[in-house]
Amino acid sequence: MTNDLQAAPDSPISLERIEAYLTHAGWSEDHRLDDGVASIWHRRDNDLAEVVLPLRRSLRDFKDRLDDALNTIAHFERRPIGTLLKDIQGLGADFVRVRVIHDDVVDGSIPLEEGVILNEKARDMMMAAAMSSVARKKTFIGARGDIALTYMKSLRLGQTSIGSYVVNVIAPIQIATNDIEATRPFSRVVTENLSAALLSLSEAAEAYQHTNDLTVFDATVSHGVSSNLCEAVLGMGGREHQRKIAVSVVATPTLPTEIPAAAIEFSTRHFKAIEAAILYFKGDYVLEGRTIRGYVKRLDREHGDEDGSISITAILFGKNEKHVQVALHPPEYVEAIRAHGLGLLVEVHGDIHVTPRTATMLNPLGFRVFENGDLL
Amino acid sequence: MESFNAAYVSSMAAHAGLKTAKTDIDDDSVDLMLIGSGFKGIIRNPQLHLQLKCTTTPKITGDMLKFPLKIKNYNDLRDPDVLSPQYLVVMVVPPPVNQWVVHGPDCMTLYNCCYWLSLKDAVETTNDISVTVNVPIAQRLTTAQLLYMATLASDRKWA
Repeated sequence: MTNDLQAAPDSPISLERIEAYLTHAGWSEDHRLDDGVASIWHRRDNDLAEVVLPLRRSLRDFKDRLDDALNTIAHFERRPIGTLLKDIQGLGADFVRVRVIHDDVVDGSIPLEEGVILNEKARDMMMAAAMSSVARKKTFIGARGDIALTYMKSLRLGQTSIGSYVVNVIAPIQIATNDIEATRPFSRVVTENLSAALLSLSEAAEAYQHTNDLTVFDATVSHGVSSNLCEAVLGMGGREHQRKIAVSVVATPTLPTEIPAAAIEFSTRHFKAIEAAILYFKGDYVLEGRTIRGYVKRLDREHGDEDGSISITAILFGKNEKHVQVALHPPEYVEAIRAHGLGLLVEVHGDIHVTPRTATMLNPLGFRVFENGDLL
Repeated sequence: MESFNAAYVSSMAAHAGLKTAKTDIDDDSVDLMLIGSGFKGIIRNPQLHLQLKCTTTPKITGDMLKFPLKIKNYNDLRDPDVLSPQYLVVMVVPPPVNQWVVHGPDCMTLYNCCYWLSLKDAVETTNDISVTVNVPIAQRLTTAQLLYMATLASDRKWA
């Protein structure tokens, strides 16, 4: 264009960074075109100001329209585009954008109660990331600790954006606190941790759908996943877990990082797995279709009853032994008495409900006693 | 001729309240951009992208102006993967330059007319050099038409 603003130079500036800058500078994303080719940004203090930010790089006129968008911002701010680009690149904060996608938020509004929960869960997600930046745990309970609390106080909530509905969390990186790594501010440690944790959770949730194996979530803890993070992600999906969410973590380039630029998405199909992970992390879960073998540790039958309950010492997974309670019908219970007396191995099949203190077989089938000499 | 064409369309754009911006290089088959302001659709400040062509020897068959368009322009203009609507604008001018502009006692008249055509989603061609497109004579480019196009563009639609 032959206007008074020079064209934007070629630069590796990311669209996420421009979006983060627009949010930081008081613009609101009012629309995202249905086919996702562009986002439309306006200001509350100036009805005529508008930035049309192209999003799909395959657009034939992508570069020209990106130049238009940057020129528009520079023109609005009455300054050279070079200065603007430096500020976009040097924004002193990391950004976490939670985009909620569903038919009930397409017009840029969200039911009030759900909106409140969304913001709360976004806060919980940041808290979970802060906590697991200090220590890796399956579940965080009790006091939060000064470092995490100081970090949480530093966070800002940006302008809410439309398209579909977006919550913006701004994490300034210059915080005076006891950084756990001298070379990086704690806030950066948290955003990197959040990005890694979400990615790990997403991959594990995907794997769980195919394997139904809860142990896929074990490795995620070392990447910062906790039941707290899972609950936050689940909560952001709505009361009925009906909404898709996409979380983008955009780090300020003033402090180099390897946080991937792509948004991490969670949809309804992931939420069931995440629900299972929460119970698993909290030690309250069901192992489906398991066969256990072990020795009868205890026999328990009320006076006058024919049915009885036994406790079998077995390894469910890993190296941890659990005493599994199994209810048996009379003939099986008599067999269990014999196995207990002779010290014989027993086997039974069913779903096992595990809690931190108990393990109970819900629907035992195929109880059998191994005689000495039986092949296992 | 191109400058006269741009001036002709620009005068209508000014009449319609649209700003104009010329592109430096016609890489994308866009000669003139028209930019609206304060529209009511999704995009408040919509853009129209125009490829301007001019002829002194119009070939009119029935109610169509047949215009040979370079293959690159044809392919660019039929490409739907752009952010703003784009149109071909063909201007017909009298052969003698001195008839392009006529000054009256209290007016100035520009000759003759512009016609517009959207080639969005037009069929692919095997031609190597040019394609003859049919521009309906009924599709006169006027101030009202430009405003209509800008209103559609505000909702990201093509005429």
